[in-house]
Amino acid sequence: MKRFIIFTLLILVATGLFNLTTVSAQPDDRPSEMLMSSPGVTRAQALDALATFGEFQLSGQSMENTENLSAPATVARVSTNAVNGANDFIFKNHAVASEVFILICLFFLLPQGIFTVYWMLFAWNDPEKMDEFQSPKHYSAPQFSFTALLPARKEEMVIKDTIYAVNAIDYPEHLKEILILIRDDDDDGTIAQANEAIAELGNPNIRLVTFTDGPRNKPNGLNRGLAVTSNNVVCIFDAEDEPHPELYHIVNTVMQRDGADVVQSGVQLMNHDSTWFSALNCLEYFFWFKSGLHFFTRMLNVTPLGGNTVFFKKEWLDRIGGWDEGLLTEDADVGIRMSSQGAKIQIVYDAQHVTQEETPATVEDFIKQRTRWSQGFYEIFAKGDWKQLPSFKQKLGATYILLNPLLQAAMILYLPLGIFVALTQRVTLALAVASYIPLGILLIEMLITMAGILEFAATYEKRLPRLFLAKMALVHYPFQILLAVASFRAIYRFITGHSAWEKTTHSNMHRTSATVRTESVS
Amino acid sequence: MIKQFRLALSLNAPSIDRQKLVVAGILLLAGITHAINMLGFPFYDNAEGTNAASAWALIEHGSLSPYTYSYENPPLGSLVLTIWTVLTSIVPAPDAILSSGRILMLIVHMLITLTIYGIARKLDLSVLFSLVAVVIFSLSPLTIVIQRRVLVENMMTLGVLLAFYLVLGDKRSLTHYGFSAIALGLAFLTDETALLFVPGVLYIILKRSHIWHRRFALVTWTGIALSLILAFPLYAQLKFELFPTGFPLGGSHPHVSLVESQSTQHERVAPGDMLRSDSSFAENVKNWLDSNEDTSDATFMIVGFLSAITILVAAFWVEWVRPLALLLIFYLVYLITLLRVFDTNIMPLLPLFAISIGVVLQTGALLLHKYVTDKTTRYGLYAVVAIPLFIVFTATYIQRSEIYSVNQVEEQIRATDWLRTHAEFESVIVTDNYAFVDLRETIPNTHYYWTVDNDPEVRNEVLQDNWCNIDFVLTTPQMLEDMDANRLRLIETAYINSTLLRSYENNGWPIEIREVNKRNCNIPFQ
Repeated sequence: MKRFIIFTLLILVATGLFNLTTVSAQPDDRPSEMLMSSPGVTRAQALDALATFGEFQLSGQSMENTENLSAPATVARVSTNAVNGANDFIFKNHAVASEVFILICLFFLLPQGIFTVYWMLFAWNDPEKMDEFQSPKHYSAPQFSFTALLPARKEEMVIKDTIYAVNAIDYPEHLKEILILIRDDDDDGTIAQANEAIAELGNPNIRLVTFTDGPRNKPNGLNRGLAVTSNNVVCIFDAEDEPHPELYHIVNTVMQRDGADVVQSGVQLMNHDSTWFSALNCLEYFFWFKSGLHFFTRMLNVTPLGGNTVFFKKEWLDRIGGWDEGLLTEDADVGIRMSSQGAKIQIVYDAQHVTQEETPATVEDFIKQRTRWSQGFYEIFAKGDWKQLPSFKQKLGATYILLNPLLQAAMILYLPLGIFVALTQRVTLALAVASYIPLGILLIEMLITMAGILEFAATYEKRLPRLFLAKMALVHYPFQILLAVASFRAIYRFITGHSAWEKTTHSNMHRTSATVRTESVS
Repeated sequence: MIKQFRLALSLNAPSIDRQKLVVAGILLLAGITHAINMLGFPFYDNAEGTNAASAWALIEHGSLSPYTYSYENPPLGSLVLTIWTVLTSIVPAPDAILSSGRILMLIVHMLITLTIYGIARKLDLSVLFSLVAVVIFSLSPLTIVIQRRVLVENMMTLGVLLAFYLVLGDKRSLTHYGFSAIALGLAFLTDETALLFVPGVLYIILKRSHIWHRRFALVTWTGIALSLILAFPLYAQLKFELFPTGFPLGGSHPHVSLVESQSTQHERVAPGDMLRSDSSFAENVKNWLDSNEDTSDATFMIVGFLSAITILVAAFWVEWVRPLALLLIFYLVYLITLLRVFDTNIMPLLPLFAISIGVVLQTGALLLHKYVTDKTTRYGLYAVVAIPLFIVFTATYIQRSEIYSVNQVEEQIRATDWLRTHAEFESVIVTDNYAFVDLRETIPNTHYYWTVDNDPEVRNEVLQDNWCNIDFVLTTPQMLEDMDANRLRLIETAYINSTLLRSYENNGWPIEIREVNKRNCNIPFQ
């Protein structure tokens, strides 16, 4: 953490200093710039006087001082013009390169920024439609049977609580099943905790499925579970999840009412004040599940599904052949493949019914997790299944989703670079002003995030410490840098073929003392 | 008739077809009153010339002004005029920037009139009283004169009204708020006084937006508006012209500065001088009320001002008039306390005055409807108020028929043409800005009179601080007044030492072409 802050500060200071030093040498600032337009001084005269200028330089005269020299004033003026002529050539070439650079960046970053702001606010856009984004208020009679897949690895800290939480979901016992999926080669702790929970609960519908072959990742476990279940609906919970007791009723109702084949329910990180970045991480989930997924599903008809609290009709999973075990983000891949095959996907988000999770505990964990997701998205993009999406709009939507980490990282990288170029290179003034548009978009995003934390706090009845908003404003850009680091790290790993699963450590931070079963039991 | 009146008084929305009819009627009214003789009256004034010169400089040289851009106004107005001029140059239209610009102002005026109707309706005014507001605004000679001129105030007013319109009413989405912020941001980039309307718009968002998205509405509006507004100081800072010389970030080399220019332009009057009868504001009030002045409409100004005061007082108790009151109060206070007021500064208040009149009249009618139960008495009282108002307004508008018939432009153009034909290519001409573009295109050493004394580059480098280097002077009453009031010594001396070549009566806006007499050139300059 300390190293990261120091590194960030160093970059900012270095950029700032470089800007300051180069700004003072900006061509517009020099008297030679004014003299260049003086009538009667030709470029040839200027070149002839180049040597004279060298003498001025050697004698320590600054270019500004040549203005005050009376005797050799003409020579000095011509001299500065000569240098200006030479610089003109250099700067003109730089100008073209700089302008092209800014234009290309704006071409990608401007739509990306506006699009991002739009999907972030989509759910709140029209109050008339606010009910459409919430869970049903009245439930249909139970019709579908549910199997909860619980893949776990090195989760001895949390698995027991999660089994208890999933078991507590209110639904007829004969219509629900829990499969705990653990690789049985180096994870005795988790297996022991799972067995303990099964024994304590004494529920015959809870089963432990262990295996030793196949890749050491989540989709492998999910496919094991899919192979041994026969219920209508298969859902996934992560090892630290805290699902709402009415979740099956909600999904059962939505599947009957809307004819949905897949239902993605909300997931929410809850520990907004445990680390400097956790509030922004919580808000990412808040905006993504409450607004973004609705936007992509309704407007673009393409849904990158989340990794948990997602419910599939089993026939659809069978039809697409289950999860792709070669990918790091099999969840998003499944969503895109199902979208391309015409599955009806429905998003349900209601603060009351979200599955609660926790943010990564450290910057290192966060970067690893985000690297995995970004890398997974790049893998899906490279795999190319998204090309089978029927319409251009869907393809465009999928491209945006899959390359968004990269575009966002480019935006963060562009900000200091674009400002630097605009300040130090001789670009058209209008373009220099336009080069700041991404900064304006970042400002808008920051303000939306600050409103978002107030909304989050009000929704989940959280208290925000004093000056929390100020703190958020301060860490907003550093957080974006974290995302950029993860994104570029993902590119590096993707190119170099590193695809080992980097596990996120879970420590039950999202569970309050009242909900942590282990504490209440003991 | 009475039935129709009652129908119009009802607060129910008209049917879609009637709505379309009303909109078409408004556009027709606004279009006709504005368009008849718009290229002949009023005369092209100095401010219009300045805007045309900026557009010309953008087209010809890619710069914001023919001289050093001094940040008196943000650049968007010139940019819009430039784009309009370029666009209209490819279709059959008047080729001069000013006449082309006046067609743009016709569109702006029609949109403003339509927006006034929209705002009035959203403030729960009936169709009748919304139309009253529209008619008063659209027929007012003061409105017509200002709105026909190619002024940034007109474009800014449209932006502000659109921003206000978009946040008003039920069923507002974040998209509405976003576009409102864009409208206000662009209005600011046209004329910085748009900033004075921000509290009114924010108040509506704060109080009227749906609780479901209020926080996001506020930050979205603020973020978008702020991003656009900051583009102006950013532009200045990129040129190292935000702060004055000697200030932190201002550098040490002499340069124009946005902060300095804006501080001078918006300089406040001393508190003790605020109500002095010779203050700039008081002088302009006299002009706005004096029927001999072009920019005047005593009836509209008095009724509008009284209505505005009523709204301001009522706002203490009545919540729904507060947004309108906030729009009014900030600009009114700004205007009253401004050290140097121009007659066109009243423009943003005119639509608000018209809406205020509509609000007050409707409220009066509703109160009568509520408290006077006897129909005959009630309609009698309606008549007692309506007939005198109708007569007074009609009398004012008929009295000012010159706006539809008199031509004050023709001789301006003749004067310019004469000088263009008779002056030599190398001549140095000093002129009112209305003629700047036309003359400069033919005679490159044409200069705007204000720069002759105030722009060091023109005064010292071009004219070498010597009036003898001026050959011709083209004067207007505005130029003579400025010479006298602002002690423009160089041009004043040239004028004194000149002889009249041609004069044009020009229907009350006389123009003179004078040749500078060089025989006194050897006498040391005083």
